Amino acid sequence: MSRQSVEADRSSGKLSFDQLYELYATDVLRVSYYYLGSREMAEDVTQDVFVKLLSNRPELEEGKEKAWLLKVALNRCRDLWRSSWIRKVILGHPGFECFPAPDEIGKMADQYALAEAVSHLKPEFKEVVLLFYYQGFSVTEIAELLQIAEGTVSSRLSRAREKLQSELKGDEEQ
Amino acid sequence: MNKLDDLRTITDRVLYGLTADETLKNKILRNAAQTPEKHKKISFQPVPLFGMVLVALIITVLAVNRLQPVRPSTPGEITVFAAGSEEKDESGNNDLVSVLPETSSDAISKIEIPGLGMTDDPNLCARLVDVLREKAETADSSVDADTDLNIITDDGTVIRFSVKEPFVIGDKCWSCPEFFELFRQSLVK
Repeated sequence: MSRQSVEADRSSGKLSFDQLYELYATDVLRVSYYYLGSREMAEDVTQDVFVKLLSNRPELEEGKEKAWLLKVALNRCRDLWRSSWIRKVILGHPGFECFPAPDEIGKMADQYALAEAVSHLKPEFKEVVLLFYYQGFSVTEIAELLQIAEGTVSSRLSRAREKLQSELKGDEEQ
Repeated sequence: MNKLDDLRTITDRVLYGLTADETLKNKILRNAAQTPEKHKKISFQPVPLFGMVLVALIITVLAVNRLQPVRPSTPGEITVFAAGSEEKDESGNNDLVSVLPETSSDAISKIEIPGLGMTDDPNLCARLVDVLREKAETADSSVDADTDLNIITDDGTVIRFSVKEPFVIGDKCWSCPEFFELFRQSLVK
């Protein structure tokens, strides 16, 4: 099922589970991976999100399906992040493993550095960066999704940019 | 930070191999099949409804039976094997209140733990029971007992639990290290 065909199906009403999975599961998985730094846990979060979708059958507003899925995913990531286990295991050994396409290996040092730097941001900064730059949500949409003020979203984005700039500059100097 | 604008493209490259595939999807579908739906609509079906009423009635009768005190009203040399209580305290924990004697109205003549000792000081016995009533907390129910706890009242009733320090076991299991500590102190005296 292609993304285009799924988008075309929107005219016929609500998206099915298959369509939602096809469209957004990888985004949920990757955002969770950015957040947690563990493929296994990111898959667990993705699983939890879609099981919740199937078992709770929420009334999703058309066009806001991805926001709901990412909101549930980020809540789950936050819960996991707060647990002492993950603080010990992940924070103690920060890492960001790449899963590149075979022909991309060896020509993506800069890209890897940015992705890694994003993954090392504090959760509150990482969330807004991922939603804004990676998932393409607006400041207003992010504020609604995270239930914080728009001004808070903007200031977090600004501070996140400063932190990334500082970290990447440090890398270049080394 | 112009590179941030390309985070989508960059992520698609660096995390190219991290995709939600059919294996994960099948796992989700399997798990969802085992998870009860929360918003299932209930339609009127006379036979299942009758069945539900019947089951509810049976459960109510069983529950009411379990809430009856296990202590007999007839005085005499009767041993009661305490089944434990389904009553709950404010925090939702099971307690022993409906099984244990009322220390304000029932005189407790003896408390014994075979292999450990016994005390027949009425005041101390009352204190020990009060400690159980107040401090016991629901615990893991998979504990294997190694002896008994007999609480004997003046009318000859023996309320018996299984124990393995610090656990007191009826049909549930409660942890109460304070009780055992006080019991040991009473033996020293």
